[in-house]
Amino acid sequence: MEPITTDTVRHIARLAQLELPDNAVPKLAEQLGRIVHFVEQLRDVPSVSHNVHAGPAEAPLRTDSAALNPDSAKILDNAPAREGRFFTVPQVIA
Amino acid sequence: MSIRDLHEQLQRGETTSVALTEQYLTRIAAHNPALNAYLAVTADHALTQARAADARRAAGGDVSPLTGIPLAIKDNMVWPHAPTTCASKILEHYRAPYTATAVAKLEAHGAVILGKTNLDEFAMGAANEFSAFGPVHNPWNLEHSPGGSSGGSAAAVAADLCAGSLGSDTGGSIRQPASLCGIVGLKPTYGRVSRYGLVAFASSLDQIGPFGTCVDDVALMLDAIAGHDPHDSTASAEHPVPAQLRALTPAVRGLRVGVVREYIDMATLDVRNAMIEALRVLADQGATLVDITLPNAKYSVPCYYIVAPAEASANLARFDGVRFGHRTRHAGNLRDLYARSRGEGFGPEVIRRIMIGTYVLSSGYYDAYYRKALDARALIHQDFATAFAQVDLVCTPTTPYAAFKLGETSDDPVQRYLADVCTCLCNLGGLPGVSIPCGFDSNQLPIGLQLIGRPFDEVTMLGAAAAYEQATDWHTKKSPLAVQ
Repeated sequence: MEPITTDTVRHIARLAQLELPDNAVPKLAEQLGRIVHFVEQLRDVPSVSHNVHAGPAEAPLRTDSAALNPDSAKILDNAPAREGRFFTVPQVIA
Repeated sequence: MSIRDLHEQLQRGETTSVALTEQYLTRIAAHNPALNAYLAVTADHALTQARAADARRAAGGDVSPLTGIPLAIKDNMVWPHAPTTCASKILEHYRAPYTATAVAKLEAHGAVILGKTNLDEFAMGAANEFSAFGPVHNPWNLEHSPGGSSGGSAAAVAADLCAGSLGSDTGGSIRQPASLCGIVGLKPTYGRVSRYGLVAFASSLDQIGPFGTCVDDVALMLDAIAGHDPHDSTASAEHPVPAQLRALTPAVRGLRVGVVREYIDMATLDVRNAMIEALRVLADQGATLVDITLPNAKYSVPCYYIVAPAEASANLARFDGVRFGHRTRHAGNLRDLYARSRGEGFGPEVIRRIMIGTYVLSSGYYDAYYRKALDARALIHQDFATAFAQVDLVCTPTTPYAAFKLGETSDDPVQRYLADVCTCLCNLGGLPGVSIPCGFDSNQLPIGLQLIGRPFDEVTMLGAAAAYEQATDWHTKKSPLAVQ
């Protein structure tokens, strides 16, 4: 098993879109290392040809019919920032 | 009193829903400061619902055992009349525009919703210590945890701050707090209850389920909330809700109960003794005890702590500060908006689980961890299929120990995760599981027994639980707070 280093933590945090304070990274590396070491015992599990599905094997389909969403205004009410019917965000590329 | 007893009082005109609701609101005002079980109490709305229930009954309208009964809802189920916070700063002020199907079904019965209960943040935890709004305290001893993640819902029932409540269970989050609070808690079969409106943690494991003071109450609530839902493709259309839930017959005679000795052996002495006595009671009631093994159950906790965080890392990606929830004030570009909003809004356990989930799904690690976890899950399914060819129910302690002191859970996350050792295999198997009170430890803290049933056979499982309940009086014991 590769150790969970602080670089690993920073890499995973970037993938997860999580900004972590610098002083949290070493402890997180240690804790994630313990968890990964714990789950490593699954390496002894034999491969299985068919995985199980939690729900139905095939997703049921519904009729494709258009309808207006009556809750648009309530949804927009939760927006941290908006202009009219649009959610606003900082520019994508700074 | 049980829900059915309250229903009969309402039917005889000995009380009203308004009076019941006011009594519970008074008790909540008196005791919630010590418990922190409720995050939001919607008194005005509850009284409006209570008046409507009384009017419905007076007019001879369609009345069920839940009509006019005051209940509480875990705060990870959306409901427009209070914020849905998931006990997280990231959703502290979020108001849902719709109602979760399970809650809507209770309201269609005319139930009264008293408010939203506290939980571990995003349902991730087993001590209700990870709420952003403070821990919940156990009504049996305020220095102790009620368990989690549905600690608030369990504590509210155990302290008689509601007649019943809803929680959610992904790895044990209904059954474990039920055990630690001395009440009944049911995780239905995966697909028995719609997850529409349940803020998703792990979509292949989550289920909504009821807490009550007795098995019959839990059966009544399951009857109300179960069933197909076009909004949730995993809510089964093939397994209708059995009518027997409405009039549950206690029955264990002739049933074969599988006993997994390893789970009893790993428990504390008090839990072991309670389990041995409980098994004797089941045998006296006519059950045949069969020692069984689940050879791959040893992989259940590591499997769960790959599958659940992996799914959580995907489900919680939506909390990005754009459309709802906390948004950072310190972002000059979109990427910083996401990362800082999430870093500021999520608590430490949620961050840990998102990180583990992201890691096990990431390039280079998916096969070593996530694929292996899926293999382990398939083997656990096979173990249960083999077991249920020999037995009708599986019996274990709900947890290896009674309620621990708040603040004493280990700093080591793995030690905390081992609290799920008896419960998470049920979620991995998609099976129904119920915890019922079966004794007390030497500190007078409750102990729970878990029954696990075949898929969609809650009736047999709850019937056996009710038979055990009839032969004992553990469920009649009230917490010190409940009698104040």
